[in-house]
Amino acid sequence: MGLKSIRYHAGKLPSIRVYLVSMNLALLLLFMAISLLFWQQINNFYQTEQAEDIASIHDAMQARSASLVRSMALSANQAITGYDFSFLINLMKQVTDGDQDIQYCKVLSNLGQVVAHNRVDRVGSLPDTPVDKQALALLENEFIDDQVTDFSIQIIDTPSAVETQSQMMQVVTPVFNGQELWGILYCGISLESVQESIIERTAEWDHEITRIWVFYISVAAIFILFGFMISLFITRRLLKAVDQLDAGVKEVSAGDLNYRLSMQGLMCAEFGTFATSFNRMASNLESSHRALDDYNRSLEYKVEERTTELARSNKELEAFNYSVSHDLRAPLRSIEGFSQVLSEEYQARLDETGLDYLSRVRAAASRMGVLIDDMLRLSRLGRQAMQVGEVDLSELANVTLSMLVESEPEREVSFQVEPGLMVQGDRQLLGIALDNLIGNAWKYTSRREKAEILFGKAVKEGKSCYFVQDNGAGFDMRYADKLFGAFQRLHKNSDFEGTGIGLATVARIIHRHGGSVWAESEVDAGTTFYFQLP
Amino acid sequence: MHNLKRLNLVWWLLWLYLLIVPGQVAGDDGLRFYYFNPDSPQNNLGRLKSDMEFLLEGFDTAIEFQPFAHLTDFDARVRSDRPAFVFAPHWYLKRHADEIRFRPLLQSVRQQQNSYRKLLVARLGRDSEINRPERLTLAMTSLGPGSKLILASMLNPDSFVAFDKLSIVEVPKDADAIFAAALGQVDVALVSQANMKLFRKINPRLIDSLEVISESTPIDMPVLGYIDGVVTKEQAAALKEFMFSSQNSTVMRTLQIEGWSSHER
Repeated sequence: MGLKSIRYHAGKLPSIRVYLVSMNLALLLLFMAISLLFWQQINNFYQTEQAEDIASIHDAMQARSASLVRSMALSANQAITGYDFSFLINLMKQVTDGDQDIQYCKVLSNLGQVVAHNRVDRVGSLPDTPVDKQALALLENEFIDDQVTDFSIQIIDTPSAVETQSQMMQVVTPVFNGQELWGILYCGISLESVQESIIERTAEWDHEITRIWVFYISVAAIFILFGFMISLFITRRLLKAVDQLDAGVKEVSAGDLNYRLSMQGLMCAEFGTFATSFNRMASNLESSHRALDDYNRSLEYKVEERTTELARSNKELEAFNYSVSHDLRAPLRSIEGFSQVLSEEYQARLDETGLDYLSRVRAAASRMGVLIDDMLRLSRLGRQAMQVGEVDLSELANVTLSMLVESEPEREVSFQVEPGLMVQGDRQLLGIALDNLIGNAWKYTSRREKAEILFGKAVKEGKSCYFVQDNGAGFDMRYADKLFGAFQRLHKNSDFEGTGIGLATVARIIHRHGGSVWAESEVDAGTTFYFQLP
Repeated sequence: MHNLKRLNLVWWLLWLYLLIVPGQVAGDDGLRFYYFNPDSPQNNLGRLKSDMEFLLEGFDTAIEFQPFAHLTDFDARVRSDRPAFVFAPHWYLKRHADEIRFRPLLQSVRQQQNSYRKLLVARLGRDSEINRPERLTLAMTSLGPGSKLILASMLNPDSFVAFDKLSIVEVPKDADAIFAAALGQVDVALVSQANMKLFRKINPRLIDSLEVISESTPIDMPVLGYIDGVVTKEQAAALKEFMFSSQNSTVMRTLQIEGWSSHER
């Protein structure tokens, strides 16, 4: 998990500046949105209140007018019943004189004549104005038709009067002579005062809303300004501290382990703790680095020492090897020479047993010569400089097999080579390695009537490798660790000839290429040698 | 102990009397002036009361002026309250003076006359003809009981009114009779000349819709007097003098009279 987070590319992450600026912007937008919502709510509230206020003014006017006209209707009822027309006319006059809002009051009889009017000169006239005709229609169509028996008040054109700011509202009620519907009383109420009140109230509301708006804007502006300044101050200081930490971390990561974070201007406790921990970590890192340097130096010294020692030992070993091989060759040549002279010139003097012993000496000397040659060849492998290039293993394998087939054409061997197996390596050394591996397969399948040898490429434990497989004698896997040792043999020389140098040579060549070699085998089931090259 | 309870009861009764009676005592202190004149062209009794009270403030004794629109109210209150001064139609006083101990002081004068005439008017139909139904309805101010007989004596016999088939509608004011006739509520009306004249100025449409059929015999103008026993003769004489001296005041216009003349019964 930790490794993953370290591996995550820091360049893809946004800067802390982006977060801080985004946060401030988001807060600002949030504040503005809340302010807008708040203002909208206040505005709605004030508009509702204003509408209710205006409606209440109008309702109050309606209620007052209705109450007045109903009272007048009651008096009119009494006056009409008692033929007290002068009282009725006086009532109309006094009501209109006493209330500036009431423009006129009339009583219209069901005979269609104005029987009472605030202006005496209009008494007896016929309904001629649109209002009179409207009232007469109301009397005929509603009051008479519906047989109204109470002083039900009707307000004509009131809502539209307010909306259109019409100056008049008609308040109408029936009048009775006893129980009989006798006529209609209607008064024209001027809405001028209502309109004035509404305008006045509207102006007051507008003034109030403007006052609140100005107050709100001022307060919001101050809040935003202060908020912005505080935010800017804190953000700048935070960024400065982050930059300071960032610079320190980069400095240390660049290799300056002596660098220490300053505690000044870090602003908050977390940054202080971080800086302290970081400084402690840097100190520890510096100590470790110093110790590691010391250790490396001592290690380098030791390696140098060992290398020198090893080189000297190698040189001594080579010298020894050479001298042994060279010095052993001289007596061996004497043994071979004198035994040859003996067998040629003293053959007649030796009996059969002597001749047998002599032939054994000569065979042993010959074998020893081969051993010395192999030993010298193995010794040279370690010292020979590698010529690395592209090597076609398939071609090398085919050449080796062809040579083996030519050497023993009578054998029935089926072989299969995977074509085009290319690797990087030393062609000569890899050729020697393949000669040994395929040669081994050829040798250990010599007792099979139908021998099979395969060379190809495989995948083992997720890695690609090359293999040489045969159906030969195989070996016991318990001795697999001795397989690649020099002069180590798992079969008797009488069964299969050999010096025990071949697989050691293979292992040394593969190791010089930085690869590895191993084998899988089963007795009498065959062997597969795998080698892997980098 | 028993006497103490009785004394306590008396004490409480005394307190109760003092709580209730002061208004009556205060009312009895002032003099009342009752007015009833249905034939007057003055229909605004509120204004009349206001003007008269303003006038009477100049009198030595406090006087409460009260006009009445209906005869029944006026008659009942005159008999129950016993006002100091009364201004009423001549026919009323002629009929009830003795009962109420009325003593005349002044008679109103209009157009330099102590009498006036009433006109019998009928409403013109659409064809400008008078509607003459068999049973007439007549509107007029009250003349008290037996008004039909009084009416018969007042009108010329050549009028088309058949008194035996006449229905009389008593209206509070003379003007109401004009309205009743002009607005088609009655067939005919008996109204004073002064009112007809006044209404011709105010609303000629109404008067034009009426036609005079007949004219009554002269009727005495209303009389101002006092109730004997309520005020002294000296107080009555003082009021008479006061009213005489007020003949040029604006209140005369309110009363719709020109002046006063001494009245001897």
